[in-house]
Amino acid sequence: MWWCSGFGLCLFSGGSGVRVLLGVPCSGLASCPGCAPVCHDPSSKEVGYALLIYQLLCACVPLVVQMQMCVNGGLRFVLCCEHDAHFVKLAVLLQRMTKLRKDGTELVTNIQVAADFRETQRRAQQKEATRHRLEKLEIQANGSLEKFEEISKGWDTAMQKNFTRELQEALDSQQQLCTLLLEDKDKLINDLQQELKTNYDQYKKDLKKQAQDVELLVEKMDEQIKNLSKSYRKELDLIETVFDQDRNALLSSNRKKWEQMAKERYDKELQYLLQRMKKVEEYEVLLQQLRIEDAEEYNKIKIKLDTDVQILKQELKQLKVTLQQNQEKLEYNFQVLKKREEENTITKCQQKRKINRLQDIKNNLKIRCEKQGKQSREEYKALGDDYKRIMQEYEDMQKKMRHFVTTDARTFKDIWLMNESEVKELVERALQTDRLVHEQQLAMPWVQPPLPFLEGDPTRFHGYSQRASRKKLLKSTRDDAEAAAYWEAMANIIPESKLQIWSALEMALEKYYIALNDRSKLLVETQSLQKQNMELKILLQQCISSKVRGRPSPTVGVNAV
Amino acid sequence: MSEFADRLEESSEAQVEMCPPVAKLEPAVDPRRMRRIIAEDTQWSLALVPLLRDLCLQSIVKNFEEKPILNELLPHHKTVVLEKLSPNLPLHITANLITDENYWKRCCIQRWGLSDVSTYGYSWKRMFFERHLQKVIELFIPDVTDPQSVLELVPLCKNYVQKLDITQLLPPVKDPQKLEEADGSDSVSEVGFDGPSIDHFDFGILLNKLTKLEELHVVYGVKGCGMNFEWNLFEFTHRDCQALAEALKSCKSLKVFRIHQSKVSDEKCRTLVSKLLDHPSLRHLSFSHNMIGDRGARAIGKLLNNSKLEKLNVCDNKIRGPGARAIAHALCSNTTLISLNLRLNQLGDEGGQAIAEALLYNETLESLHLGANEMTEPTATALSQVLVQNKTLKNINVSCNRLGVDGGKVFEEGMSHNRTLLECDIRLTELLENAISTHEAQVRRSREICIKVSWRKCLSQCNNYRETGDLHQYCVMRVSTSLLSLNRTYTVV
Repeated sequence: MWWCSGFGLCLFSGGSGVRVLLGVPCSGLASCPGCAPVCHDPSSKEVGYALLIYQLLCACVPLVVQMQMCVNGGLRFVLCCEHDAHFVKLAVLLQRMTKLRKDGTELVTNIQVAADFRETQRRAQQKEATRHRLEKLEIQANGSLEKFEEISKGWDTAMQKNFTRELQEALDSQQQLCTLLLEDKDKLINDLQQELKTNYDQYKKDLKKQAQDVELLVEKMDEQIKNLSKSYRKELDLIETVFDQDRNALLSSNRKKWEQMAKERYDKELQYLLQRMKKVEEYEVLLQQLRIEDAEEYNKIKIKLDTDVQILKQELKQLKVTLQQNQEKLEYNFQVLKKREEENTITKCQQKRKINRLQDIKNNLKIRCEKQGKQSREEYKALGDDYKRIMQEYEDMQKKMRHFVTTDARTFKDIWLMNESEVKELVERALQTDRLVHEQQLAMPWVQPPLPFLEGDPTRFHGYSQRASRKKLLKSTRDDAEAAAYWEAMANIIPESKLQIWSALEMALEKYYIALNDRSKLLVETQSLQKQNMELKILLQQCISSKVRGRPSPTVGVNAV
Repeated sequence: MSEFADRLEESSEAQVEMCPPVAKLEPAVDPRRMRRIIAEDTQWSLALVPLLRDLCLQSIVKNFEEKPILNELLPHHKTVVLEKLSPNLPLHITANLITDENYWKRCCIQRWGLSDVSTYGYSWKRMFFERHLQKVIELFIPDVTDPQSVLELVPLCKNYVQKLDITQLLPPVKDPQKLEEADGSDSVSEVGFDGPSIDHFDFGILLNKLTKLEELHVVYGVKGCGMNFEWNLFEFTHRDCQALAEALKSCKSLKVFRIHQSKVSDEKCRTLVSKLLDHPSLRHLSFSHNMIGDRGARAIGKLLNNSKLEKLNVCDNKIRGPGARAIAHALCSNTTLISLNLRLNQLGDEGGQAIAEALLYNETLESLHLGANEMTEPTATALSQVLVQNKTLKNINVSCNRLGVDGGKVFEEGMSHNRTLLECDIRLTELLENAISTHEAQVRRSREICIKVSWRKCLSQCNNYRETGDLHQYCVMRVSTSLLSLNRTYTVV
């Protein structure tokens, strides 16, 4: 059943929705936000249900409901109650319980209220009676005062009476009046006592009534408690039955679920068992195989190990033998060592003796060393003198050397200048030749190459000599390099290209020369041939001339010409 | 000490295992002693040599009065000792030493038999000391008992006593010859008047020392005097009143004070009230079953607005119209009083109307008892106006007043407009039967309406959340607000 409600306390969650403890339903409320009541038919079960729940809630019975979202955004509470009949019974009972409690309390308090009421009434009566009594007393007091005044007046008159009889009469009347007054008072006292008595009786009655009331109260309370406990027990029974049913239903459903699951489990187990058996068989085969393999391997290893053991045994034997030998050796060594030790002791003694001897030698050597020292000191002195002398010689040598340097420089300069002039001449000749080659052979204009060194400064030699005099070897080498470059430049005044040209020219000239030579030869030949020709002509002319006389001579030469 | 005992215990156990069990008593003496198991005695074991530990503990228990050793013991030894301690030990030893509830339970049960501990905050110790002190005060005879005997108790019980319910106070013994009777109830004032130094027990010596006292109930009278009744057994003299008032002023922790059936007259009421003005903690005040008249009521009215009183009970007194007017005047401006009981007074219509008028302005009073107050129709009319206007009153009782048929009608009319009242007692007010039933229906309906109103509030809040789209907040709001309404309903039922 859908139960649209306002509020609930979240109790525990789970299942389809959030389980909550419902506070109050709101289906009957106009203010329910957007959740229309499910059913509009007032006679329907739902509305009856709703009313019940409403009453339950009014009696503060917490209900367990499920909270769900409505489509339109509101909240709905689904009542978690599956056993309608019991639920209704429970609701009715709860309603009755509330009424019972209320009625019982009312019954009990009724007695108190009644007592209160009686008390007020009594007080009112008491008040009335008191007022009445006071009035009466006042009237009485006034009456008796009058009488008393009368009596006191009577005393005055009696005092005036002189005669005995009159006096007697007056006294009698006085006495009568007094008795009257006393009687009145007595009556009043009686009345009051009577009233007191009735009041006393009333008090006793009231006490009894009160006791009765208290008894009644206790009785009613007992009854109420009995009733309540009875109905509570009933309620408890009902609740128990409801819970029992709930529990039973839950149990049966759980059992069903359980059985189903157990069956599933059984099936699965069976399946698993079969699978396992199959697997076990497989594994057994596998195991058998493995076992055989293992056994084989085992045997192999065993054999190998056996052989190993035998080898090791042999080795052991050998080792034992060697051990024996070693032992013997060691014993022998031991003996040897012993002997050696003995020898050592002897040598030690000898050494000691030797040391003594050496000590003596050492002393001797010391003495000799001292002598040697003295000797060397003397030698040192002599050597010092030698040194001084040599130094003197050395200075002399230096002087000489300086002198030679200057002379060398002068000669060097002379030679330099001579060579230079020679070289310059050569250069000029070379240039001249070059110019001639260019102009005559090659017919090219000749350009004079730059000749800076020809105008070289004359200080060069001066610097050189100076430097030489200063004996700075490093500088001199540089100057040497400069000089080398200078000479190189002189040597290379005709560049390589020109040399090539020259060589080419030379070759060409040589060829030309050869050609010329050939021509000259040929010219000689021709001259000789012309001469021969001439001779032959002469001969021929002679022959011709002779022919006439004789036979003609061969004229080869003529044909050749 | 305890460690030593433990070690001994071990060794003795070892010994026990070694030695065969030896019966201490001869078997012929008591065959029962030879049993291995005695069902009733859980401690029973056949024959073993008692453990040194047990001997030590026994000795401690035996000599506890001379040498109380308790807190030095191990916890399980402590429980053993506490179980065996006699409840008759002098209080000056046990009071501040023993906190164990079981010991005090034994003490209580030994002295008073079975008792209900729930009214003492489930503390047996508190119960013991409160009842002990009550007994001492109730049996205190002025000039005979030494006040020192009470004062001696103070340091022992001041930490535990929260409530004193004094049901009788004995008057002084006036006849020296009858001194030995000591009950006080027999001693009658036939003989010469010596002038006792005090008339009853003087609370002044006690109250300022009990720092935890919250509740005090006093009756100046004698219980169960039977046929020895004398008026002077029920006297509450001016001297007593003065002393009591001073004592109350000195007791700053007091929350509840109740003096009943003590013939508190106007003068005495004024004396008491004058000392209770601006009391820092007093919440409940009860003057029930006394003789307070209009002047006393005026004093009480003054007290209402000079204290933090929440509950006032002046039932069964002699307050009339003027007194009620004074109280009503105080009610107009009061913001603390929640419950007011004026049952069995004589307010009359004057008082009833005054109270009703005050309720139009008061916004705190929730419960009002006007039963048996000689009120009639005019009061009913005034009250119906209250029912229409007042929004705080939940409980009203007008039983035993002759409101009459017309008054009932007016009252019903007022009820039909009310939305807050939960209970209305109109028994014995001469209203018609159907009117009563209508009233009941009205009352029930008003309760339902009350619930509905609270829902409405929540719902409007919920809708606000829903409109802003905060659905989570919306749900939370619904749930939490419903709790409030649930609580509310619960208190109603």
